[in-house]
Amino acid sequence: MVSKSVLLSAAYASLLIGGLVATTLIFNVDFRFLTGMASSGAAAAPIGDAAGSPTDPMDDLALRSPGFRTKGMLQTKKRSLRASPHASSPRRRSERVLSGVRDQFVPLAPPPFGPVGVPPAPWLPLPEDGRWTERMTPPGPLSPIPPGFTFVPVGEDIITEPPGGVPAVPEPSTWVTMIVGFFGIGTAIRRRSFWRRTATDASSAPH
Amino acid sequence: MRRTSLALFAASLLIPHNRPHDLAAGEAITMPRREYQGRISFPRGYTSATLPRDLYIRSLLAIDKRMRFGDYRWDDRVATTGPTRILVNLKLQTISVFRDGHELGTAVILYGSDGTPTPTGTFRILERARHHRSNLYDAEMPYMLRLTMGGVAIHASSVREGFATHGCIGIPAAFAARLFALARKGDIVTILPA
Repeated sequence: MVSKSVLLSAAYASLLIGGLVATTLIFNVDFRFLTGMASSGAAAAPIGDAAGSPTDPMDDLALRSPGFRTKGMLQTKKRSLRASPHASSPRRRSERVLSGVRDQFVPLAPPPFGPVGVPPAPWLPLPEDGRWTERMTPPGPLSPIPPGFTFVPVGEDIITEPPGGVPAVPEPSTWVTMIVGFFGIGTAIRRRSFWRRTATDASSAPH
Repeated sequence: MRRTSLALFAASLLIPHNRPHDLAAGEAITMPRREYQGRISFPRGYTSATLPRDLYIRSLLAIDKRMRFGDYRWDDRVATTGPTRILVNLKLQTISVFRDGHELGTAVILYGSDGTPTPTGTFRILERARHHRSNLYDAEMPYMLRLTMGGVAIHASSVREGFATHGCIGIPAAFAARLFALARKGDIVTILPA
């Protein structure tokens, strides 16, 4: 038979420990100092973010840097010598002139036509790399162009007209818009002339 | 009552107790970047391989934008006591002032030119002078914190882009006044190389 006082003390002890644990969990308080288990002198640990955002102190410090000062930068005004910690990639050099040879898109294979099973008609021969360039002219006499296709020389664009074209007579809505616009212009002119006349009359009126 | 409390206690033991804020010794974890009130905090006892070994960091000022020449930030609400450490980064052209691991201020600096480079390493502040006039260059150097007897110091100067010093570290005047009020003789200054 356990005495009543022992039970009571056990209950109080459990309440105390449970309260400590609950406080730890809820308020995020470290009670390890009670047991002397306080963490001290943790080793250097690499800290990274899953999202890749910088968490190393040096990365954070680099974000605020105004830029690097490379050797000899103070003696020159060339901006190419100015390095930056913010540049995500090395500086790309780009040409400032158009190149002599410009590749244009040419379909690599002739479109299928004709009945299935019949070998396709000879198409314009392609150079070895499968592309024509502007400098090249289609070699030799042209092969017969199958019906339904038109030969478009390389380097020209196909200008397509809208289907049906533009009707010669405007639509009713266009008429309405135009008439309303004319009314607006006339109203504006009349109002302006009215106010100009009124102002002129007022200024020329005898005092 | 007794059974309830015992059951609660037993249940509380089952709840996993992990606190990501503290690192165990030698433990490598991944944790998100934590910002609070304009500060990036780091775990207790955190040291980085990219920083001086004796410099521990508890928080950094969260400055995501690049500062311009003459800019500075100062926020000393977080720490009022503790050792003062100054970290000068010649490569990034910045200075950071720490107290008890918390970064109180940062600024853009000027440092020595190619012909008169700023020495790197760890120094102690040898002398403080509110008004100082350079013997070598006959120039005013307010808020001077001397680092070497050869004449290298941290002092206020006009921090503009495209300029350099004769080896000193130039900081904005307003920042220099705050740093001068904080720093004491004997405080450690670390200068990282360019």
